[in-house]
Amino acid sequence: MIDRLTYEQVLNVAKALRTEAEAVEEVAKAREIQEIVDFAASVESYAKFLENTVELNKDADKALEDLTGK
Amino acid sequence: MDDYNRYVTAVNKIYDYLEKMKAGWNNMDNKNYIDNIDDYKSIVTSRAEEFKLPRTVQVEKTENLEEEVEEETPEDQHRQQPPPPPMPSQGGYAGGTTVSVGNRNLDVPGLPASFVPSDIQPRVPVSEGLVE
Repeated sequence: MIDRLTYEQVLNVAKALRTEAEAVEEVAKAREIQEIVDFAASVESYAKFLENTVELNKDADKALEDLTGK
Repeated sequence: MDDYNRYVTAVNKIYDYLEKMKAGWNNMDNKNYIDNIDDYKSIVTSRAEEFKLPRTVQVEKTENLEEEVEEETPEDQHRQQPPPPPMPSQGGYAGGTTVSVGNRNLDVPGLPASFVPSDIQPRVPVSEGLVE
């Protein structure tokens, strides 16, 4: 769990955000609207942040298990 | 689905997911991260109408034009070279001048003032003088 969300929920949101951001980026690049391209890039960065956060928490959980197991 | 509908659908989904994440975080830093993306909301909304317009021309066409300009045809290369001065016997000069030949002064129409009789070059046959 990360706060009130499970790892799976966070990863699903990250995947969905990345998909929608790519769609926005595609239509924005076709019209050369740089501001919207920047917005899509921000959303993709946030999706990456969520994935990294999940990985960090999983590693922390594993480290904690190793410590308590000893 | 056209671009406008794709754009609106995607943006609405993005902000729905962001609202869910904001409700799920306790950490203020994570909530602030979402707020930074929320700052784009006014821009995203105001630029939405532009997606009803047709797509802009791609850059590839201008690159092709530049390539065409750079290519030089043999005719262009010939034109760029300065034209060879016409031979005195051809009479192709503009203006006129008086030339002293021996004891006589000859008025030669179409001869440049800089012409000196001793500078006459042997006439080059037409077949050898053509510059391609």
